[in-house]
Amino acid sequence: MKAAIKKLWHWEFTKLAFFLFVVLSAVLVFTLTPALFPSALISVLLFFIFTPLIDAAERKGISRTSGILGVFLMLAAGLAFSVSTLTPRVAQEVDAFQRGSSRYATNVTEKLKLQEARLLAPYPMFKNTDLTGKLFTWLQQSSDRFLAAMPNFASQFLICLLLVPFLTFILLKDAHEIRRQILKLVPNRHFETVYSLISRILDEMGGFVAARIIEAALVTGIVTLGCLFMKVPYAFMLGVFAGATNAIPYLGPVLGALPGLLLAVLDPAVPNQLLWITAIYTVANVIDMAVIFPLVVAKIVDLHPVVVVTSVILGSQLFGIVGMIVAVPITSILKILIQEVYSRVYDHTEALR
Amino acid sequence: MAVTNKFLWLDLFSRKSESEVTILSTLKSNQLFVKLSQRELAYVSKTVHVRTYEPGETVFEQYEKGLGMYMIAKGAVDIKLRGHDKSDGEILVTTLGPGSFFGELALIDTDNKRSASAYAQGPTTLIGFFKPDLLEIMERKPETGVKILFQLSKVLGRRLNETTELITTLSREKKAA
Repeated sequence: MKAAIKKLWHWEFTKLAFFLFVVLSAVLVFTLTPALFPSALISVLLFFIFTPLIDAAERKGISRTSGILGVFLMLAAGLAFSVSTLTPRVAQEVDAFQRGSSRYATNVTEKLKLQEARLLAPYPMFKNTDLTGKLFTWLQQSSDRFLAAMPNFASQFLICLLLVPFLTFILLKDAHEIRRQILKLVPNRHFETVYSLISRILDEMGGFVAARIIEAALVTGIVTLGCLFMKVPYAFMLGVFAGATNAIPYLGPVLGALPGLLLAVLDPAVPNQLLWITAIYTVANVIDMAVIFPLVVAKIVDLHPVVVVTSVILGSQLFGIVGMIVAVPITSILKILIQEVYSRVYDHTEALR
Repeated sequence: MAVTNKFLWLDLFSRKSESEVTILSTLKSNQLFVKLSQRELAYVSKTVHVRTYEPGETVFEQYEKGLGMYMIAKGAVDIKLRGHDKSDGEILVTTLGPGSFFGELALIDTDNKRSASAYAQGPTTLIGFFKPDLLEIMERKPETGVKILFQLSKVLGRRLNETTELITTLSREKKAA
């Protein structure tokens, strides 16, 4: 009997090791392959966004495949409509920005040189430092590096264009089956724990992604409408930038407001609007912080503010801006892991005493 | 020869594998899924989890957090209770055979702790149906979910009645003694 139990333990351990090996290999393949990672990430995000819609369609008696195709068609139609209606407006803004960029550069250079001269006047030994010149050389080099990386971005974009619809379709159609097949590898003794963990993590991530997208859409809407109302140029670009950077906790709102504030300070065509632009960003972020975050995001994630701040700092130290964006969801996954292990191991041991 | 031909014929044109047939027949005979149509049963069969156990292997232990129920497709399961005293060891309460199910309270109770331990008696195949599966069915096919929940409440109600009757009988016996 002892030999049989030992054999069973050995078998369980082998199965657990194999399960972990398969999961880790899949994660590593998708994260470490530069051609796959962005497509996989976007597909997972789209999966979380569209799952409630497809489920709702299924509840109405529409088959899952038809529901997915319907959502894809609506998405394509929506994109075509946005491209046809918004492109002229955005192109106009980009064109105006390109035309105005030399004016901004001259303006910025002049203002910076003036400030530099004023600041360094009492220190003659720093007379020849030319900080403004160095700053512009650095900016020039950065933009050259960005332009050099453009062909790489273009190829990445094409890969995404091909892979994202394919991966998203598979995930939306067969996520449950994929999960079931992965769970087959889990040894019997750990099956319920692993299944409970996976379900809780997927539920929480789904809610988190949806909440973040609602947040970004609202911030984009408020900033764009506010700027359009106040006749601030580049309203769409400013709105989209504010919405996108909003995903970065704490730093995001400041980063998102920077282009608008710089525009108000540096563009002579936007006179006396600093106060209004500041008010637009403040309103957007107050609504976000006072209403959307506590009611939607915080309820889903349920982390103590100290834990959130610590995780964001740690994320920024380890992986920069990407680290800051993924810090909260990763911390929330860790929280679920700890809770589950605690309740299964410690509570059970306590009950046996 | 005729047998071989029949077997080949079945193998080539039957769209269901042996394990699928086992799942379907186990689900069909289960109290929880008895009201489901063929189509609904086929859907549920793609949701459940088939698990195979070696003789003596633990399915779950008493006081452990539970996630769902198990239906016995093949083999048998011993249900054991831990005695009040540690030295008592475990007492065999019952042995369940094919078609039986156990652990269904975990489907609705959030902090469910298993009230007894379950061990495979011999080589055993169980079909697991867990809370996330039930929630997914409720989300995607609410009509099917409601049928399962209704049957589940019937089963739980019946077990509650049986327990009440047992307690009443025991208290009467105690009073009489």
